[in-house]
Amino acid sequence: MKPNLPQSKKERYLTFFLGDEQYGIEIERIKEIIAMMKITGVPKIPKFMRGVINLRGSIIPVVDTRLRFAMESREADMHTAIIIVEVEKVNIGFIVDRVEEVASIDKASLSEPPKFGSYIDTDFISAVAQMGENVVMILDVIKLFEADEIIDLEQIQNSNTSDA
Amino acid sequence: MTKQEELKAIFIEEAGEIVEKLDVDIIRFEENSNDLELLNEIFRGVHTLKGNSNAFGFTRLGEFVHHFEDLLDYYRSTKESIEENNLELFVESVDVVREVMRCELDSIEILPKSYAECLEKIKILLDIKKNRPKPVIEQKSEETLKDLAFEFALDTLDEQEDEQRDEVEKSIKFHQSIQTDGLNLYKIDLTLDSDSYKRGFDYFVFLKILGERTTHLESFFDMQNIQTLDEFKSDENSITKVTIVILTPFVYTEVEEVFEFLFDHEYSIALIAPLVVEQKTQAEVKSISSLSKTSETVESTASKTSTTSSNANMPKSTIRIDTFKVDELFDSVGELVIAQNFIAQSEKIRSIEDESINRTIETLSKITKKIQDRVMSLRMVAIKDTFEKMKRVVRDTSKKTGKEIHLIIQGEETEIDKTMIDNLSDPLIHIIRNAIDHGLESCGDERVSAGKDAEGVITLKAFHKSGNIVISVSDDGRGINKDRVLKKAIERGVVSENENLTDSQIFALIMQPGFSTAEVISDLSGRGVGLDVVKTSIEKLRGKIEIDSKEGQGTTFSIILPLTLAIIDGMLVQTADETYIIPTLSVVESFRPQREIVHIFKGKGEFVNLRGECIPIIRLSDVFDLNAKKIEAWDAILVCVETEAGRIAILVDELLGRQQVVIKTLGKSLSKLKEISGGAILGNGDIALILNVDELRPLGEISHV
Repeated sequence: MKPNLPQSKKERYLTFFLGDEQYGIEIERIKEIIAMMKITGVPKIPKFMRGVINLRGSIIPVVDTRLRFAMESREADMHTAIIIVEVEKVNIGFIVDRVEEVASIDKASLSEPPKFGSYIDTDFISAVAQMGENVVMILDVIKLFEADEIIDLEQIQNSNTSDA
Repeated sequence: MTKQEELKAIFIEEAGEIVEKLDVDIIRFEENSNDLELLNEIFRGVHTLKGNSNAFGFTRLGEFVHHFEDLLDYYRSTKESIEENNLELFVESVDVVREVMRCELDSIEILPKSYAECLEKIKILLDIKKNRPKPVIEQKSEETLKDLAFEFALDTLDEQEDEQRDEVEKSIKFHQSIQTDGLNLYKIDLTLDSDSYKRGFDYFVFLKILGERTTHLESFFDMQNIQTLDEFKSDENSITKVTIVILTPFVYTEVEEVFEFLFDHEYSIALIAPLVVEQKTQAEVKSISSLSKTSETVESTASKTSTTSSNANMPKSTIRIDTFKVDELFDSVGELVIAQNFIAQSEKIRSIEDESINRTIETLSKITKKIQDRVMSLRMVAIKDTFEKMKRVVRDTSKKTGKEIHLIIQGEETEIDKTMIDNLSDPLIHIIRNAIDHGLESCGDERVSAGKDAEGVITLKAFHKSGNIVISVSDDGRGINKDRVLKKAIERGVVSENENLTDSQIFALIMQPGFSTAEVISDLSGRGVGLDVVKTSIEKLRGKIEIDSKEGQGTTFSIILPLTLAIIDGMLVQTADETYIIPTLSVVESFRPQREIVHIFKGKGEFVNLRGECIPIIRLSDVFDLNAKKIEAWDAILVCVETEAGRIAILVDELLGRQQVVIKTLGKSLSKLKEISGGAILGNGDIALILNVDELRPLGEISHV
């Protein structure tokens, strides 16, 4: 996703809100969106990992996206949703405040993320797009996890024991 | 994967199966070398292997099995009984086949020494066999041997012709031997012109027509003049010659009718005289010598005996399914069960109070249960094949050690999870070798003087026991000398001197890493890997090993495995408002301790004194940093579990029950948690975490042992 390429190609993104900020994730990565459900806590995991959910028989870890982005956690309401995203063949749930829409964004209207003025580490943001009056921050879910200690922990785990 | 790679993968899988089957068959054959049906079975396996390996360019394997096939075929067709030492050669050959196949698959240049040796032996034997009883074919067999040697190097046309002629002869001989009254044997040579496709004929048309009324048909295609793919023309026939051998009630004219639209030069039909039993040898010689005159160029393609064997014993009809697909099905059924439970337990639905709805829900739950059981059974296979393999191990070890052994196998119909079977062979081989090597007395005299039969007895057993599968290997040897084991263990610092160990704990010591059994029990050296490897691999299967031994009477190794890898029997416990599952296999007992037996050492944690044994108490809320109000041990329940590092007592608020649960991984990102081996979905849809008790250590890491 190189915003500088002069291609006029529309990409589709699922957009959602965290607080007042609007974010987008490539639609191909989204497996499904579910309503908030019971989360089983798992001990000794990073704070922003809320635990695991039972998604029709498979156990999926859930990230509190607000905590991940160093925002205040907040009580779930009727808009709170879990977006199931596929990251490196693993499904992960992201808790968001409100799911907005599926937006088509012209590649040409994507620009480099600003280096300042955001709540979050700009590493997670692959591009910024202007959509009417709103600015949508396109998230790079891989980066979200690469920059993450989870990967490190995973590597440690891989070198120690193989998954039975 | 390219098409070629795909094919190769299929070949490898198939070849692996064939070799495995050969292994088993050859041992059965060794026991009963008069079983011709079994010999045929072996022959068919070798034959298929030959075709396949040459097709994939594994010429070294191809060459070997080719000769092996010839030898088998000799015995098969002459029905001559097999001499003891030659039988040995058969067994050896199967070994070589396995070795060579491994070399071929790993592209190892150097073949094992046994390859050349064994091949030479086969050739010599073939030479002797073919020469002696039938001097008339002498010349021919020499030819055969000559051409066999060259076949996979640079084969010349002539030699290939010889080889193919040989195949046809074999086929004719074979068919003569099964010919009955009312059936005629024909040899048909078809030499269709290159334009035959355009005229609407190809060989398969005739094969099909002939096949309609024949009892046996075998065809030999000459593929020599097939062009390479670049030059290949699909509308041009490049198969110059096909020889067909059929056994049919057709009379000559009827056969001729089939080919009436062909040019005269394109076919020739020969009626082969049936064998007269008394003059068997002569007739054979005659038919062969007459054949030798005509020069044919044919090559065998069809699997020759499939027609004859199919009616002998009806094989079970099976399909091959990717285990991945079965796993997926298994997952979906798991979801179904949960959804069904939800319906069954839903208050709203219950409140409907309609009889027909209730009945339907009842039926639904029964069907769901049935589906679940059946899907489970898909993964289960009888342990028979693994046990059959062990016969071989026993035989070889017996030869190597010079100990006479009688093997008893029981419960080979016991079914066990396929994934477990695959990982069970190696540990089992190890234990069996160990039992023979170290368990049994070193010589028969020693046994006799101990009042036993000179022949040692190894018993291999599989059976169900309280929801688990037990596979045991027993020997009636001298047993384990407890004192020596203990002494050694103390010397090595594995245990301390004043420790009070039970018998089974002492026996378990021999499975500790670095504890060479060889030094303890016999003077025979170990094999590089100790029993600790066996222990680890069984533990990977969520199983455990128990050893029982009586000095002078023998030793029993019992491998205790869960029914399946996907499901464990778990004890549901609650602590700090969370539900956890402790694998029942490791639970020793659970109890509410009396205040007097709980001891608290400052800074060292809590212990419970259970019948003289001091067991550390583990609080999950401490291990997992949970916020929970601390309750005293005597107000809670302690679940005593067996772990690698000795017993521990897990403190829980409540026991919720015992349940079979399907193990699910927590996903990559969470599996770094050593203390938790996975999760399980309970009937109400909630998730409970499964504890990995071996990783639960008391805080401050107090070594128990």
